[in-house]
Amino acid sequence: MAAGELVVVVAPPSDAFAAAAVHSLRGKQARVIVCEPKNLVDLPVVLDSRRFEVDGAAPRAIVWRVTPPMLLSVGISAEDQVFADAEVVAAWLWALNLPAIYSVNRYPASVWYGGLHWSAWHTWLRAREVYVAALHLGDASANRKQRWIPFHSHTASPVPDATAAAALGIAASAAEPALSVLAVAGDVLHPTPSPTMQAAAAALNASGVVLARLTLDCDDRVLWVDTTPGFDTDEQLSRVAHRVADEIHAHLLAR
Amino acid sequence: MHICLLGDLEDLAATYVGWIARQSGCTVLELAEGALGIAWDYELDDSGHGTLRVGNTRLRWETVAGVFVRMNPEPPLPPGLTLDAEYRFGFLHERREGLHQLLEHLPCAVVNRPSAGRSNASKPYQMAELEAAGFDVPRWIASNSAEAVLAFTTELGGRAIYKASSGLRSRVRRVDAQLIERLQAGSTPTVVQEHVPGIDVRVHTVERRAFACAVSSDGVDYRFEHQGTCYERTSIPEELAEQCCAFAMASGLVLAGFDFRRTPGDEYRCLEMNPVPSFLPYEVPSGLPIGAAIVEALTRQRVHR
Repeated sequence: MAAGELVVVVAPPSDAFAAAAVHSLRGKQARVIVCEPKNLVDLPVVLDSRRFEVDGAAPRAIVWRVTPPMLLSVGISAEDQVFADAEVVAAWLWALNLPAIYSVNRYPASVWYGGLHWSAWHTWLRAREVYVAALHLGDASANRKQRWIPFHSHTASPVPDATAAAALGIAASAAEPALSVLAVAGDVLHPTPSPTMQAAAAALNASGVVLARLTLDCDDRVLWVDTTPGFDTDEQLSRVAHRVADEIHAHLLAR
Repeated sequence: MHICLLGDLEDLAATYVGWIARQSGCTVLELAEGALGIAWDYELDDSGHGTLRVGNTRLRWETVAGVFVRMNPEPPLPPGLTLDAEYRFGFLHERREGLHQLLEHLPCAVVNRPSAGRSNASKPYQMAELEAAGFDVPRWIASNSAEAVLAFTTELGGRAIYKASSGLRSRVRRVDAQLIERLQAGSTPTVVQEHVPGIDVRVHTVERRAFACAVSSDGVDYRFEHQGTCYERTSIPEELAEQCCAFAMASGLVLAGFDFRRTPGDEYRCLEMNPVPSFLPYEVPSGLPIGAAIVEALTRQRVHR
């Protein structure tokens, strides 16, 4: 057993996935510290290139349900807030990437500091030769089939007028979301996963992104990636939370 | 041959690169971020084909040899456009991300692509990367615990400095009672690092070329303590130059700036790598031809993505 091994969960109180994972981990006798993102600044941490300690103990796993630009340092004066949040996340981002720690999720710096936007994942997946939906940048007026995909959302909209499209340098795509699937620890939760789903799930898991929802178009190309996904049903949420807890538990046992 | 300057055209490095490019016979196109959609616009598909309009001229991206980028953290709205704070924020972020995507996908040299070298925003992340690549990084911790910082500083015999954990600009200072008091009162994780005696050496890499400049200063952080600071070109071991170039290129950076401390025993201790280095303060007093090397890189490369 991995009794007493420390797992740190950083998640808002409303995060049902984190709550289910905590329940499952405690059932496996893990010691779990839960911290709200806004209070992260108050958690005493020490890290270097090989170790990470939280309040004097070394966690073996971190469940990180934080997305940029979440508030991480409540109580710090308003004028120092941006600096303080950047400082906190700079330390934790490396902690997530420490080889000895199983993180859900671990993020590459290029994607985290790309805001975890779909565009950052698009670039990242494309560099790993995973098929992604074709994009058109800038003026999209020549192709009426295209839809505007704002960089800061997952909702396609009609292409704005040419002046706005040019001034914003929009991204547009003719691809429509056809289906979405969950990728958990490299597995695709779909009865007949496509080659692109498998390739994307494998690439994400290999870099430490244990949990993600992939949205694909009808040509089996990834439209976007959501690493703090919602769940279709409570049963699905529970199943995924248990699966993730099992993965963490296996890591705790493999000392 | 066309070279583009994109982003903040008031930036001195951008102005300088543009001047050298013009001297070299290039046509320099100025693509100010705030003028997107007015003075210039673009379109680009996934295979790297598309057009750039500047004024009344429209050209294919294939005719652009390279793009030099300097972004302003507080870019302007297009002239004549006023927006409430929330919409302004949304507009600026969407436009910036649009430009980032353009720069990621352009089929020419880009100095530098936005996704390259982003670990600079997390010093712990970057120092670990540098260590893993074989650089000699002085011992460090990142902590918001006064006890841990005191213990580490004691281990170092009191010879410790501290600096920001993030990539936000901050001054490097010696660990002192003020820091300990601030940590005791509750603060963010700070990087505390072994203080290395010696002189600073900034190594700029442009592709496979390295340019080393020694900076002598009495202060802890010469960037903020100009009095008595002296810049002069210097030489570094060939293998170190190669190591810098290899690391920068593996990070996707055409241009990078490495900060070293050279000890009295001629050891090179690596402090960090800057993916958007201000090379002019080093080039002007030392005469190192960094700007010219950048223009060469911008005019030579064709990238097939």
